[in-house]
Amino acid sequence: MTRVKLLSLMTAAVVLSGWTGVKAKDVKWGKVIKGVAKTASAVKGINEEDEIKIGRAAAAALCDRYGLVTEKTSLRYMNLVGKAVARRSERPGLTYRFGILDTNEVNAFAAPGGYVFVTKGLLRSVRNESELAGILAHEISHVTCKHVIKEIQKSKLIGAGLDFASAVAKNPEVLERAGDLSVKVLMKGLSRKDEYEADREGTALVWKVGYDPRGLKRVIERMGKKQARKVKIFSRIGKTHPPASQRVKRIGKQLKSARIIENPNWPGLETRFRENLADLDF
Amino acid sequence: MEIILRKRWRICLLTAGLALLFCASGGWNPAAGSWLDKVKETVKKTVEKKQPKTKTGVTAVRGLDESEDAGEGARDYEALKILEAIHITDLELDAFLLEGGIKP
Repeated sequence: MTRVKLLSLMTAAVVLSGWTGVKAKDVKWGKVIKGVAKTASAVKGINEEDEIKIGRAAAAALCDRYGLVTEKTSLRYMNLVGKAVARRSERPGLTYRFGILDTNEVNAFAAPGGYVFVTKGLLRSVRNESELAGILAHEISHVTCKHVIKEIQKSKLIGAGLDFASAVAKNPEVLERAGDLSVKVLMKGLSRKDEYEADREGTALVWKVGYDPRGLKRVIERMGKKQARKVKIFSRIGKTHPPASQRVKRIGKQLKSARIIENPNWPGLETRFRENLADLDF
Repeated sequence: MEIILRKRWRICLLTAGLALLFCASGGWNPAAGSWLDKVKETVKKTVEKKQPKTKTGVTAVRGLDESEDAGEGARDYEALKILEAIHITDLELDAFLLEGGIKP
């Protein structure tokens, strides 16, 4: 061993002993191993049932914050498109709900457990059913990838060594707090990595169903142009999502690499989209 | 020059880096009230001021626990029930896709 390596090892040993402030002989290794195991189980600790409960609390908070559009034709149509896409997703067993939030803000939210919302403002910038399917597929992918749940798991909401069910049993408020935390995650926006993943998965999903896979890309492109013109109501989605240009570029690459050849028979379904959402006074 | 970089400088840099880590992590604890304590206290206060606290006093994690503009507590479960009342069967979904020219 060279002198440098020896010196490095010795210094590292001194630093580590100083850093921890604990002598190796004082460590109760059994407890350490149990603690690590408990922490690991806490990370996994939110099962599907809990996820749905958290999502329901978050969805109810979003409904209260923005108000829900209750026109039956529009809601049924949203659910037909959404469920048609969701049943080909990675989690087809989940009961998905699709709602329209009564706000001019341009955004969409995917609460855990399958509660998906699109704002009236966003729907106004959508041209046809394929584009709507693309947006819903992006949101469904956030649910299937459990992006919000992973953020809750990273937070200090669940005490160390507890799984979610035990935390709720100990303090029932934890459930509602997890719902609030989900809303905060959605308002702040997920990480760029998560957004790109949802774009990628969503585009693949919508293609699998049979819709035009360029739908999501087109909506993002349109939103990007409006953002560039600094339309005020677009400010929220600009804050919660990565730059439109980057997203468009990535989806373009994905479509190219998947060798998706433009098909003139891909249904855009503009008329059906307009007719079913006519209640929303576009 | 190359030899120096390979040996002495590398040892010096490594030792200095590790020593910094050692001090910063509290491994070195000089007598109370020393200059290092004062520096530590100032840094701690500055960091605490910048970190928002939740109602429970837990310091925010990646800004998630900040009481930002998200509505806390208020929920509209009645509105949610409208969504939950919508039931669509697989057959209805197939018919819907077919009507749009998509093979289910």
